[in-house]
Amino acid sequence: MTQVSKRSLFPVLVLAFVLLAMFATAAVVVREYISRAFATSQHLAAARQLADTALTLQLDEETGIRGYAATGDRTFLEPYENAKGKLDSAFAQLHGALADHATKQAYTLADDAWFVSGMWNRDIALTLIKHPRSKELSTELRGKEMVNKIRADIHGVDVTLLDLEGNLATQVSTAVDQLNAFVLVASGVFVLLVFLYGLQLLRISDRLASQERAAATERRERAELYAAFEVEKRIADTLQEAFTHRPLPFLEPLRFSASYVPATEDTKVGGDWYDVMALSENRVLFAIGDVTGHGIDAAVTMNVARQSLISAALLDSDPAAVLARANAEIYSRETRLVTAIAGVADATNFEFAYAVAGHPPPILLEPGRPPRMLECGSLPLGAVAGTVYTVRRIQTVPGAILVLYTDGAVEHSRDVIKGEELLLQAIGAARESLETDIATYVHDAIFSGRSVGDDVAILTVGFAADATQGLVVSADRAAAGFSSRVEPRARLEVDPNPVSLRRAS
Amino acid sequence: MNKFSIAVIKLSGELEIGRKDEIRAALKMPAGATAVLMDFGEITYADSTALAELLRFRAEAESAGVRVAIVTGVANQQFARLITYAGLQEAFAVFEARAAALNYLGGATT
Repeated sequence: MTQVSKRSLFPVLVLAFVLLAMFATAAVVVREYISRAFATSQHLAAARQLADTALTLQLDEETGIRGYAATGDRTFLEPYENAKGKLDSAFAQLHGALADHATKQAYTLADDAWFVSGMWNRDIALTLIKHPRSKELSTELRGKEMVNKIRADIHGVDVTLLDLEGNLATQVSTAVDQLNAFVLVASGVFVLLVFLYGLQLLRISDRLASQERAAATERRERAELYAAFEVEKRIADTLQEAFTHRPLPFLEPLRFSASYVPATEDTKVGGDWYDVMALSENRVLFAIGDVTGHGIDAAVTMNVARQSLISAALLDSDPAAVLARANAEIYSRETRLVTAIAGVADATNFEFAYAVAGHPPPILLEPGRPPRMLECGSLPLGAVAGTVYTVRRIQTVPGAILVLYTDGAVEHSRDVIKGEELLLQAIGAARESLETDIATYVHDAIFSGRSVGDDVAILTVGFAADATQGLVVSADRAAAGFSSRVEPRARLEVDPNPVSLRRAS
Repeated sequence: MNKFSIAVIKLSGELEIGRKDEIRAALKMPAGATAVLMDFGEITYADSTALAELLRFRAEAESAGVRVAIVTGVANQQFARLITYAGLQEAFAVFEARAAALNYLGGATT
């Protein structure tokens, strides 16, 4: 903004400055011109005075000589002698005065007058003084002619000098007129510039004001948007936490652990969840899922998926049927895709039965064997209407653990294949460590303090190694007691089903 | 005379949520095609966004009566994993190489 005003101000200031400089220069030049003209005019007047003096002296001479010639009285020679003594110096002064400042014409005329005056003095005056009584008519006539010539010359000088003075006066008055005009125009231009400058300032301040208004509006909108975002994030967080914090059931022959760590980046809080629901003392339904995307939308879709899985399980705990029902529900809502695994762990025969909907494969960890990935592969929930899901059954042994996870656990780098290897290694290490909270151990082993770019949920469902002792042989309370919590027996020292819910640091 | 035309859509690089609009623009039903071959041989990464767009494209193709085949590329483990996990074989005809896919699409329309 300051840039703009500086740029628009600069030429105005420069123009005003140039104008003022021209104005001052013109004033000085004209003043000098007028003062010189005045000096020249004075000089010309002085020259005219000299010419007048010279003519007067010449006429005095002539009068004296003529009187003497007519009367022979020598007293007439007195004015002649008097004038003669001064005439030469008068002509010399006139000559000098004209040499510098007057025209060539005046100079030539004065020169001629001086020359003729000399001739008159020599040829007429001296002749008549030597022969006062000669009275030669021709001499007198010639003398008169000469004086007339001198008179005409001096008159010419006078007229020329008068002309010069007149011209000078005209020039001075023209110069003064021009200066006046210039001052008038320059003042006009200056006033116009000041006016334009003022307008420019007004426009700039207007623009500044409107920009400030726009910026204020933008700030307000951004603040509102941010507030809205904060609200959405808080709601999403609250929903997420409310959903994920549901406690795991306690069942004697089964072992669970779970870990949920939301994304470090606030905007990435998403739709991962897991559930374990007791179907009887010996059987549980377990589920894990991941809604594509993040935010309230994802949290709501997660809730839909979750509720439909649970309500489906109440009717029929077959994992494929559970997924099919959830698929129908989510597909009808046309929201987001959901990947999920639903399964049943049965401690009476050590069987895991599970069905997969577009979710990464479960990993089975059996005593004495390396962890391995189980089969998977089917369309996600909400993708295609009427998708039929397959139940996969794994007969396993006491102490076996099934590890379920969301893709954040393997997609922490772009190399997913490597991510899967890392996960398998972490699961193997968890067994070596004898840690009961396997899910947390695995999460820490994978991320070891690194920030988490996506939500990561890990759920383990296992059979107790000494499961035959813990097995509850009373009648199955299938589909009835998912909220019932079987009280731990006396031998419980540590909670065998730790749930780890942490905020990512 | 066989009257069919197979459009080929080839995607490469990383298909992730940040490029959703780009992916959607690329996965547009080509006018006049009777079959579409989607070549994903040079995909280096794909997340669930790409999956959702693929399934959306499938629904569009189905209603337009256009057959669709996916080429995964022979050694593209990462994309093959996504295909397998997401069960895309159930929704698409999936092939490792282009020749087989073309054969399938061409044979289907003769």
